[in-house]
Amino acid sequence: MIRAWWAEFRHGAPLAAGLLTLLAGVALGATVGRQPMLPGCADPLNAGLVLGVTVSPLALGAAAVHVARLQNGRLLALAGTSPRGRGGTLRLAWAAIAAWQLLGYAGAQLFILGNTSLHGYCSPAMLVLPAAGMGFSILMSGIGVLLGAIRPHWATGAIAGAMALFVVLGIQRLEGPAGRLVPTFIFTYYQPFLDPNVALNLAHLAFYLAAGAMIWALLPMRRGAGLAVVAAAAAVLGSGVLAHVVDGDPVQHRRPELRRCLSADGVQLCVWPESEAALHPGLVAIQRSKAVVGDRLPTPSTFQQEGLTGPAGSSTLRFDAREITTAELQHAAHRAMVPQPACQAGLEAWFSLLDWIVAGSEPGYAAPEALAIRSLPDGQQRTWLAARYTAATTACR
Amino acid sequence: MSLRRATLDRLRTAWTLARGWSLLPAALAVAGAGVAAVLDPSVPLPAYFAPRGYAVPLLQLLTLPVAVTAVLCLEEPAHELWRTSDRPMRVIAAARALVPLALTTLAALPLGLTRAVTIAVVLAALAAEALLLRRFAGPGLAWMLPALHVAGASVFGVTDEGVQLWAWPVAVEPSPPQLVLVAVTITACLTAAHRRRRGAGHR
Repeated sequence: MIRAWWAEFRHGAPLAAGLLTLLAGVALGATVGRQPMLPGCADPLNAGLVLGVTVSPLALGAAAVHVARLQNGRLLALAGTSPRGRGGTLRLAWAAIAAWQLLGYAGAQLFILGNTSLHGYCSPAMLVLPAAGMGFSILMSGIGVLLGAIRPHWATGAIAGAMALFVVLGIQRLEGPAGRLVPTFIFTYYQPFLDPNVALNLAHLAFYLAAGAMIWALLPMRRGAGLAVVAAAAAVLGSGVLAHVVDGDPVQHRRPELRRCLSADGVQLCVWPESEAALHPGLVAIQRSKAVVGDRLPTPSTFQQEGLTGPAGSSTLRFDAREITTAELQHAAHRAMVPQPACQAGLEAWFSLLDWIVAGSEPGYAAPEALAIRSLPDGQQRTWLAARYTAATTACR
Repeated sequence: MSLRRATLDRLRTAWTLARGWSLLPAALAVAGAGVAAVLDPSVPLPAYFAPRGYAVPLLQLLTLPVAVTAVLCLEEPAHELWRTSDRPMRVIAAARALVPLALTTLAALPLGLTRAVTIAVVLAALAAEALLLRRFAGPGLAWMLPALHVAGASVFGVTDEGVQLWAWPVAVEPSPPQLVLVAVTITACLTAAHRRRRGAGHR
């Protein structure tokens, strides 16, 4: 069996398509790895997943071409008379194409991981990303084998591969971070407080495996496989429903919470361990913002990075952990002076307060209206601020 | 043989020569490109490293099917036999492949000379890539290299800084370095693909 697989693996369409996929995967992986990503494992694994899914329609086309060649060369008919049979030969073709596809995936993933810093947050939950990607690639190869067996024509591979490519690209674009139909979450950056949504990815994986099992049962292309096909179809339906009902958010908050805290002058800031570099400059930025606000607004004394829970009355410091800069932390500190409301009415007042703080800190970047408020006498400013603070903190209750 | 029958035979032969392996996919691709040139819609790409988004005209994406089907037009139904023909079959096949490329470029002309030149350049380069893979893996797999290039460029070729050098298939206005790279790609692919294929080939 292994010998037969090896012979299939290193000849003809599987070899040509596989080598191309491997080379393209490595080249794209090297390119992708040069882009800025968060330290840690999730971002590079997510990029590898997107790459693997993007390339997988080509395996679908290559598999269809390979099976069409086997059929047109009468090799499938010949195999039908052997103990392995037609179904076994088609499965062998699937195994050869899928193995090349997985090699390409692994090569690309290794290049991406090799070009990024892994000294960040890594968790076992992140392994669901490559697992879902590999499941998707195997399924696409299987669909190609099935299509090639149903319609062994020279154009089947090219047309099916190109259509699958446009469908996968289109769905990725349309779904954005939703990732319902394909397991990629473009535009999702894994900040240190985020893990992939394990339930959603496992549901995806179950769906791909069930669909793969159905193709496996269908491949002999003859009557008699009815029970296996029905069972696999039920599994496809069940896992499809499961993938639809689980929480569709591609990310979930990391557990358990680990924090690093720093206190000075009655102000405390806590961050995730991977963002420890932001601790001291973050505290300095908060104190600068508090100095700008003065006693005109009540400000929190406890701050924590996004994803960490804090005591009542504390505020969240939201910054992009990919690139911690003084300017970004200062802006985050301004925004954290008043807890951000969750409704439009509150947000309008909150943005007015933010403009007022910016006008005091960086007048060059301030809105003219905020500068006009800043130029009012202190009493009028306090009245204006109190009205907006009340709206920002109570409008969404 | 009557004159009418001789004329019919000539027409039938001309149609067979014009049809080649299969004319329909190229005709459909060119028709699609024509419709895209008239309507000129933009398609947002799933650009992974450009959260602000990036869109290309649909016509630019349709250069992929046009280029691939144009290369498939080089094939003959009985490709072992044409070498014995006294007709200039290579020239006829090349002309057959050039027609879809030329028609698509002409369809892009109303959109402006710059757009038409961009489309022509991208078509030529993608067709050259398909020719390269046709040389090594047969016409059945020729589509894979340009498809990989377009897919990779659509997802990873655009960053917030712009279109990367290698992602010229999705560059609406290619930069001079990109044009140089395209020229190098065309030259390299055509040089490698020029050697005659051994044996009867495979589909």
